Amino acid sequence: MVQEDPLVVHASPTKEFFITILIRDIKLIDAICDLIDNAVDGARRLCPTAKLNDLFIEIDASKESLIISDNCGGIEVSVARDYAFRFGRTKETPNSPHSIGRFGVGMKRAFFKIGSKIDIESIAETSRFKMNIDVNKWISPDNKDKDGREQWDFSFAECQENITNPVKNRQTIVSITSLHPTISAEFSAPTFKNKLIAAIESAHSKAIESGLRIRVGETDLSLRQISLLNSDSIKPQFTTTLYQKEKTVTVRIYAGISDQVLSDCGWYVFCNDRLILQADRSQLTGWDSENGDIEIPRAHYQFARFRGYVFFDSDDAGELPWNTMKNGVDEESSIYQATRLHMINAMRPIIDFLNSVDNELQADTSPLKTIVDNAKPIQLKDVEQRQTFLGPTASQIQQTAPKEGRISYTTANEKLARAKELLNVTSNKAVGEATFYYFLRANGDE
Amino acid sequence: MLVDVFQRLSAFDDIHNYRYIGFGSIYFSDFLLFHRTLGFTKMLSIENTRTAEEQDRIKLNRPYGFIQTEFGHSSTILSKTEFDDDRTIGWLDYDSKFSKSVIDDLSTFLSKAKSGSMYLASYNIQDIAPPQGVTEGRTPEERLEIAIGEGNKIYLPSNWRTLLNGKNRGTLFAAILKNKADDILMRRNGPLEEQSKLNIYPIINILYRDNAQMATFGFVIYSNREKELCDNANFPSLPFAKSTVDDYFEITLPNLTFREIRHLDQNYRSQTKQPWLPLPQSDADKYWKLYRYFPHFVETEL
Ligand SMILES: Nc1ncnc2c1ncn2[C@@H]1O[C@H](COP(=O)(O)OP(=O)(O)OP(=O)(O)O)[C@@H](O)[C@H]1O
Ligand SMILES: [Mg+2]
Repeated sequence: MVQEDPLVVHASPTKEFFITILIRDIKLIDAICDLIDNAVDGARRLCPTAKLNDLFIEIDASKESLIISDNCGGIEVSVARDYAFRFGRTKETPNSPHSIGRFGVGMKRAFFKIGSKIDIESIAETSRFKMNIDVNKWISPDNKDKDGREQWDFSFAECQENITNPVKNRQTIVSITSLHPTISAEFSAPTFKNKLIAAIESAHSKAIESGLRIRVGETDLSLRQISLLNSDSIKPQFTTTLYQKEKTVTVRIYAGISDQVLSDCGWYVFCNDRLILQADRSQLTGWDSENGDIEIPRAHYQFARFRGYVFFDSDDAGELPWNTMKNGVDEESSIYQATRLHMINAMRPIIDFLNSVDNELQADTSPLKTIVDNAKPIQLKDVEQRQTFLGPTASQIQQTAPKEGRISYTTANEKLARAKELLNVTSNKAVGEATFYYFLRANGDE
Repeated sequence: MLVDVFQRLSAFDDIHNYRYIGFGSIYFSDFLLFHRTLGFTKMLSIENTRTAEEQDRIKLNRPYGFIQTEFGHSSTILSKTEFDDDRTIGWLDYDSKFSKSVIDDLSTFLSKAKSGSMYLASYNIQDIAPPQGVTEGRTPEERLEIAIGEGNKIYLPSNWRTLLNGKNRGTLFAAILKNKADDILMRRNGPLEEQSKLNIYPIINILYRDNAQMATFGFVIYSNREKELCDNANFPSLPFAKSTVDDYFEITLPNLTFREIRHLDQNYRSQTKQPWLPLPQSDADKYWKLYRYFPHFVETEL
């Protein structure tokens, strides 16, 4: 034992506490997404401008293990040694532009969340390594460094540097075994795979669109296109705002209407093309705040068509309003606060329009509904810049209103038969028409 | 009076270039006045009506072709209106009582208006009444809460309970608007660099009687970059300017005949005393406080 300074008061965390706190709030799916985020970052580092066509990520979850393998560039030994396995980023941590990685915690948190044996194998441009983490051993009080202090570091099982590996050989394989019982049970649940697929498809639609192949078990993930309705009389808003301090942040807002699906209705927020908030209809995105007689209201069915998409982009992920789990926005972020004002403004005319569509249900004609039905979905990338949502003008509504109306009523059969006789017609329809014109003529019209 | 204020805005920009937004109704009296006196040509009138007939009537009464008319709730129209290029004067003259739509219009306006713009709102402070009119058996506290909406309670000044009656309500509502404005600007300023950050400069807090007790509250918006321009405008030198919400300028019109007015005017130099006129001194004082704006207020009664 080293002699202790009597003035030192110990405050270092216990590993158990550290792990408990770390994994406390994260959901399993979000933890897996963290591992995928890292591979997507790798893919974008490897091909910053080009398509991601030859790159893949494969996820295999079973009762026994979770294996994620990718060929997205690998982790260099130097990065692994000094940064990748540390809890949190340092100032020196290399930062790749437009990354999802930001906090330096996602991968480790996912490990602890899921299982207690983790094997990592990676081949990068100039190095390769293997590493086995046994969490129980790592936590154990016997795990001490040479000075007898609690050991926090991990160690490589194998590592080779100053070699050259061609792009096609570069890869990372993470396999987690000795799954925690609850996790193992989740992985065996029949719905789990679909939930995971849905989550990744939404979170990474942009990467999938760029050609990255992501596979869960045997299923290739597909691209979920985002579209908004568009026509001559209905056009979505699309605005871009630049915030420039030391770093630039670009904020793009799209808002409009789409299919009448309540569960999809609301705001979607992306940071560096990673979806972090989905179909939100809360105060957080400006719903719920009352406003005179038109309200930006709690989502009712009539607003089920509303969709808003906000994209925050920056080379410095630290400027963006995400929480560490990447499943929500950092409400206090100043960029988000300012953007929220724009979101409320974007939403108002759309809510107003959807209210009029709804009011029309009580009316005899429904030109607005016809206008909505005639609009065609267009993808976000094809939406033109527009300061605000465009709804139909009064004259467009008038033109759409049908020129004819239908009257219908029922009456007793004997009376109907008698009328046919008097009018000398055979069909009910003819009775209706003849009596109608008879009435008009009697009043001097027609 | 407002013309005097707007003229000072020429410290920021040629006043002709300003855009004016108002509720023109079918009379467009503010539009006429400001076009004649200040030469505004970018003018937008908002009217909350949906029937084609009323819309046609409003268009028919539009005194100048350049006046744009938009129909719908003011909050919707304001949030649809592009603000980027123009300095804007918005005078939202509600003939209704103070309500949450006043607050929401303010936040929409302020979330977009650029430096050099001016916001003004006029509303009835005769009473505190929720727009739906459900007043029966409710305390003023409850009515206030319904009127401004649950979500806006955080903008109440700390002494709001002492401001529920009489002319104090002018202070109460001005304070709510001021607090809301500060909040919106704080959010808007967050990501902006120092020079672009915006501030407000309250100058108008006027109480007057129409058929009911009314109030007008207003402020100028300026960026740190244009602070000097705002200083050059020298708003505090306007005789009726008030830069805090608890201080108001009250317009009280003395009952004067035409002849009396003419007498007073002719004796302008002896403003302080008019022994030759059988008038209480207080009436004369009231007149002198307002004489330059006087005709405008009595115009309709003449
Ligand atoms: N599959 C992978 N391919 C390439 N690099 C990887 C891969 N997985 C992890 N890394 C490296 O490991 C580092 C640490 O990942 P981790 O998820 O813990 O933190 P982060 O991504 O930096 O930040 P965040 O907590 O925001 O996710 C990454 O920055 C990256 O350098
Ligand atoms: Mg990560």
